[in-house]
Amino acid sequence: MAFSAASNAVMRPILLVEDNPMDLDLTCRAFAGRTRNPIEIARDGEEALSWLKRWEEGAPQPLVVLLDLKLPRVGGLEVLQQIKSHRLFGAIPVVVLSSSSEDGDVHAAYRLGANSYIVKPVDFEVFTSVAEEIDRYWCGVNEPPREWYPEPG
Amino acid sequence: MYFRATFPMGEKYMKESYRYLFESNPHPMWIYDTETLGFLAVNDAAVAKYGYAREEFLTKTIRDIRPPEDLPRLLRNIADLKPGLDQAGIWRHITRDGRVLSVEIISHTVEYDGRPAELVLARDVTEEWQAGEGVAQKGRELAALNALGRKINASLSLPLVTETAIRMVAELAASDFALLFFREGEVLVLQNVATPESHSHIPVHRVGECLCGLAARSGEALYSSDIHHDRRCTWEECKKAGFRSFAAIPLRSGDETVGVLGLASLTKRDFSIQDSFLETVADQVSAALRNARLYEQVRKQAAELERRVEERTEELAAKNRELETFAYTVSHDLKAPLRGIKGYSHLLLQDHAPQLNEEGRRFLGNIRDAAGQMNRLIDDLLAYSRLERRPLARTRINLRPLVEALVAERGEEIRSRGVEVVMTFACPSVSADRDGLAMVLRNLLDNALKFTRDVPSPRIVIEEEESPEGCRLRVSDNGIGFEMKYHDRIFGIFQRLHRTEDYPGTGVGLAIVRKAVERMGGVVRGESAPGRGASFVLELPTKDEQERRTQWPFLPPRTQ
Repeated sequence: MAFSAASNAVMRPILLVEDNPMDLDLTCRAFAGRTRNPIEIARDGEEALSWLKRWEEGAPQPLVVLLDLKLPRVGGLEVLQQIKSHRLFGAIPVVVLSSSSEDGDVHAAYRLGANSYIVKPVDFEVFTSVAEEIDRYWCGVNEPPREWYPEPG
Repeated sequence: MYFRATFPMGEKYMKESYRYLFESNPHPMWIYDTETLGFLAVNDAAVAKYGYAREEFLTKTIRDIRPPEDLPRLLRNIADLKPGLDQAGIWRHITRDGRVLSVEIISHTVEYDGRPAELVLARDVTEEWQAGEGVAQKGRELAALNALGRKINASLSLPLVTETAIRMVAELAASDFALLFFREGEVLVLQNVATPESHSHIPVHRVGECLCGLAARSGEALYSSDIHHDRRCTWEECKKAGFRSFAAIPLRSGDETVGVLGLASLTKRDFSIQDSFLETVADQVSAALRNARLYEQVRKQAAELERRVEERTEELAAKNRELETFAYTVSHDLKAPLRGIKGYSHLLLQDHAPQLNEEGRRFLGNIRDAAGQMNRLIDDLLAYSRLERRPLARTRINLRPLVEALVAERGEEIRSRGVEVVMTFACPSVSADRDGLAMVLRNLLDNALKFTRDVPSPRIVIEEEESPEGCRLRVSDNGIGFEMKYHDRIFGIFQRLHRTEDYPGTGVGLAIVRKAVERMGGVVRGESAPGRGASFVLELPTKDEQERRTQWPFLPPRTQ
């Protein structure tokens, strides 16, 4: 179950959690041509959490989760907390992509274990650079631990 | 040294001549048993003066002819009695019909029928005593009034004044009880009773009933030396409580009777002898009560005002917080559609430019400029609202390195435009929030650079000097300036004096400056005239909050 070492056998995806259709489209376009990895999409917090079940059933785990904070039904911080406290999937990198640049939101996200916090750029050119950098680091440089011991409790 | 002798004077030894001297002495004389205190013999003058028949007299003891309040002193005196002559001084005696006599007592120890006894001669000095005593009494009353005035005016607390007044009046009038009623409409409400025990059974009086009620209605002091034989006294409770004589003195405030002071004695006593004293006491008490009541009212009103101010302040703070949250939420929510506009116009220009004609491309450019301007507005609005919500981290800051760094950030523009920048520093440090202060200075510098854009040989002067308020920093330029009538407007949010195409900006910069400076406990003002440059003056505190508060304790706490 746990982690299979990164391999080329299965192309591991990027999971994008985003409810705003325009932001969703623009994010996909920003990544288009800049990553070789497929982008899986969850349109709200509940759908994002349903991926935990799918991963348990053997679906390939994502290299990184791109998480919006303002989501209908289950909020982004709740999703973040559930992933990061999960006994098996706590090591999956989560990058918060949010409109908010408020200290409060940034602190809350890092406290719950976010691996990075990026304020969504308004300029599309900047967005493409951000996408490129996310792909380069989280889908290339970063290597998740082979074993994951979640913190007790 | 006295020669003490005991004369054997028993019935059987008493010679007729001695008996004659005793019986017909013009002064009252008697012999009493020093153990039982019973009268053993009394003379004709005693019978005449005290009003008892001889047989009745001989059933009494010497305690029965004393006012009760003098008994302790009497018993002490008898216990200390030495053999021989005793000049006991002036005493008060009571006759059968309740009159009080002042008598001078001279006595001698004797043996009477084998019992230890005392032969007493009582000389009535009532009249001469009263003349002297009157003066002394007046003196005591004046002193007492003075003491009362001092004590009951020392406090403005109504319960304390009430209690002090009751206690002191009872003491001053040497009465057994003092009662204080406040008038509430047609009812007299008992406030407090100064008694040895509590007499909680004394009921509420109605105006017009019993002595107190009658005094309240008429506004006149009423006295009764025996309430058991006074038809005005209708309350059985007073009689059951053992009261004998009573004084009811109205407490007046202007034309109104605001209460009644009641004095009661367990013995027959004529309070009216002291009427002017007691009425003056009552006036003192009512004046003190009036003061205390007025003070109470003022205090209540002040407390009420304070409470209302607090309530309003809290309401305002809540509204303010609501507004800030609103500004922050709206600003973030506006970003999403803006990203759409900017993103898609970018994609349109990037992927479909060839399909658009010149005009279409210009329209698209305008859309993108407008979106950019909106983005800056939202960012500035966010910065402004964040300024309000962010807690201040006050530290000591040396302005020189901060200003120099900010000028260096703008080095390229300054060099390329040939702007002359002059800086002089004087203060060791200011007490401020570093980020807030940097934001203020950045905005002032950017303004100075912006409004000197079109003047020949642009010049910016940054001067620092020590001031009574702490530190005064002046940022001046020789730019286009502004009319002073717009002084207050330029510090308002989204206020602009120029067209965007002439001088770009969102109109938030100076609003941020003012908000940040005020939150740090400073002041900002502008000085200018059109075409004469502008000068912005910051007054910044050099001492931190704690130090300033010790200096000026009335400084209100600042909300962080």
